[in-house]
Amino acid sequence: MAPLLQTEGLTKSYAGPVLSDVSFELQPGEVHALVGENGAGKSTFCGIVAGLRTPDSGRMWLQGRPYAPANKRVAEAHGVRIVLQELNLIETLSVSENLFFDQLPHTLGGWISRASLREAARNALGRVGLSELDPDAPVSGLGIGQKQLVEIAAGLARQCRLLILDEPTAALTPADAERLFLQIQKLKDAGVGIIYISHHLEEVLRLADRVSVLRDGRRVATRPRGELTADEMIRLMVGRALDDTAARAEKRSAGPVLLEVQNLSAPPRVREVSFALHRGEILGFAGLMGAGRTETVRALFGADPRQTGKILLDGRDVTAGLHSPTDAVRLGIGFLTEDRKSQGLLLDKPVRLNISLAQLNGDLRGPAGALRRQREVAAAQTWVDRLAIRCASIEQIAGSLSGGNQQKAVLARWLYRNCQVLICDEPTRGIDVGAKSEIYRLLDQFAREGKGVLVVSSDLKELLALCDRIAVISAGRLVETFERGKWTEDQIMSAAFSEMKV
Amino acid sequence: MLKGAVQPDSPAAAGAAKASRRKSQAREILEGCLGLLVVLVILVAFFGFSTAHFFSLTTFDSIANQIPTAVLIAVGMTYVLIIAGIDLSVGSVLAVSGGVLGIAIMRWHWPLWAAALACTGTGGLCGLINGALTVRFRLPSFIVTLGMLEAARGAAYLVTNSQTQYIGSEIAKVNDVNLFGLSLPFFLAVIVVIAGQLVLSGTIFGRYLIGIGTNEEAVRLSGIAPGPVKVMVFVLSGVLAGLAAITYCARLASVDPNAGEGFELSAIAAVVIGGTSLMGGRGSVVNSFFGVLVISVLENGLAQLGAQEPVKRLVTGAVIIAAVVVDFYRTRTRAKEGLR
Repeated sequence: MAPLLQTEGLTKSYAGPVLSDVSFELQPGEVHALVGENGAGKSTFCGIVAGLRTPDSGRMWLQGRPYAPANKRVAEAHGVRIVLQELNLIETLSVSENLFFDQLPHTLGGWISRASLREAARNALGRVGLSELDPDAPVSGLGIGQKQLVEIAAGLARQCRLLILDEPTAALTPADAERLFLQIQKLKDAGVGIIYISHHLEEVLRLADRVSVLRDGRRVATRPRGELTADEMIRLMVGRALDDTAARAEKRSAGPVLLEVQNLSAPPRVREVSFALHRGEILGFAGLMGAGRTETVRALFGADPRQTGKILLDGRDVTAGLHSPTDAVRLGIGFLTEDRKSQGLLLDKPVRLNISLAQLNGDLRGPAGALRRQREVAAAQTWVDRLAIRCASIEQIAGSLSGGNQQKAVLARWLYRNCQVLICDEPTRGIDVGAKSEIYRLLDQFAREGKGVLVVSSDLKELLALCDRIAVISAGRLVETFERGKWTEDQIMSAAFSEMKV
Repeated sequence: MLKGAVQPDSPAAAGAAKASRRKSQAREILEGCLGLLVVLVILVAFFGFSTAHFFSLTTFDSIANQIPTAVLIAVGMTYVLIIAGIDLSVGSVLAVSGGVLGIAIMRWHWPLWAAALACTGTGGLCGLINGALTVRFRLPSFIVTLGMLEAARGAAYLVTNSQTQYIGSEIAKVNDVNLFGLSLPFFLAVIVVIAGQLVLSGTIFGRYLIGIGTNEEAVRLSGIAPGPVKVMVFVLSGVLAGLAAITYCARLASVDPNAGEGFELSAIAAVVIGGTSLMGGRGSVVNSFFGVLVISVLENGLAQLGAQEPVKRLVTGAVIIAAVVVDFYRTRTRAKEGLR
């Protein structure tokens, strides 16, 4: 019998290669799990199968027939459906309208037939254990877990022969997850093939008939369930040769404690996180997507409210005076945000304005609130030169710079602000290799000046290369801290998964 | 804000620009309003040749006396639009402020200066309410100021007893001060325009406005609290509406509960003609001034051509839309240059 899905040599690059030469096979009635680190290419692969993206090269067959979906609609016409990790619900519409948005039952005149819609919605909801949910309730009132279930219900409600589930249990309670597993079993029995992405390795071992491990865009192993343990999976996921940049970083000497955080909580994602950052140190936050790393640093910076937590700077308790980014910046904390376009840059403004932003209420404030223009120009020029930001002049629009230079411009903003603690959330996301190493160099230099750097990154290689210590956050808790030289990638990944076990 | 002509790929040009920063800043503003000046000259020339009396002291006089009210409101509106907000309440705020001015003079027999202070204070208070509600409850300023448009109009009726009242020669004195045929309100408006532009392009506050209008979250995460700045902008808009009320009442020597109806829309039109973006982050006070002039010249010229109200409105509407279309292309070209 021809496999349900077969792929050969699927390859996709954005800034760099994301997926290289992936061959894969799925039988009817099989659950085939895909595991791998953040950015290993799992979502990209599934996106290609579901018609969300087109591969640069490679071929696919669906039940022996060549298959190259141009978009999601075409894929769905072939019976291939994906339930995404991000929610795609329309908040203002009702549950039932969301469930059948693309095929609302209607009368000849175009009126929606409410009764049959409600009926179909009840059926679909019942399958995921949401039978008590009112189909007419607006989606905006649902909790995240319920939304996830509605999303899954929408996928299950349609005829399909291949269903892709991308982290379906991320927001589900164990009971809801059980109900989902039951449905998966039913689909299996009906001969539907399922590609299942999850960080929950226990779950994978329970559900999957076969497991494929992706690493750096390549499929490194495919094994039947019985021949794999969680530890082996982790080893396969990270088992790469250690990058030489890691060895290159010379030892920095850590000074006294600069920042101390005790019992920081910001529900639901941050739970009693405590750590200390020393002068001259780069501390990394590792963890899985959604583990609460960004939420932790945002709560620390005052960008989001925190429930509990004590913060000390240079041994001084500053908890009472740190409630907003304004407070944090005044205390000498800088924050390089995860998404530089929406949270960092003034995209359609010159580089100069972007560099000077955090100093407007500091160095650049003249008498009577005047802006010290000449000082601003000089400073912008200085930092452009010092960080080698490639731009035609400081008047070039920031949005027209390359990603790396944009990031350097935001970095320049904080260096110019002369902050003591620099929080970097995904400092090299979407940046080419050259700019990456320049940013590493700048962070290293910053730490060597006796200041402290906190790096959140989903790229473990990056943390291994950069950090003196790596703290691992799993499901909102800081579970373990590793010292340079005493860590292995397996240990770090195990820690990252530690709170995820079902 | 306006960008100067930057020659990419040329370090020498960058160096020169650095040296003559101050000069280039003035040039920036000039270059920014050049297009509007050209339009204005064309309009004046056109009306000058096609009507018998356009080039006359009367025309000049009527334009100069009409515009101060609109200019003052337009300056406030420019600020509000730059932070990506909108203030629909200015016309009503003008009316209620004017009403307070009338009461203070006639019933309380306050001296003119005190009455004027109460008038601008009333405007400022309305602005404070607008700003505080917008910021505190994260409401769209469109909705908040739409509410204020109604509420302040109601208040204006209450304050004036729903009647247009003559407030005597006292207030008209404001208009009697003359220099080259130009009244005190005209000079007041010009001073406010200059000050408004200086604040916008030369102070920290002005830069905050640009930043907030461009990316409020980035500004917040850079350690600047956007809330107080935004409240301040609405207060300023209210205060300027109050000042506009004084000039309005001075011209008519009376208070009118229906004063300022539709002013918010003509102010927005003028500001948009001046190239300020409704999306925020970009704008110029000087250009808003020229925007008001363009509309005023257009209306006076058309009137002299014998055009009736319907035609006048039709043409003015077309000009507003044309201005936005031109601005769209100008912005896009500039964005492309930045990409080079």
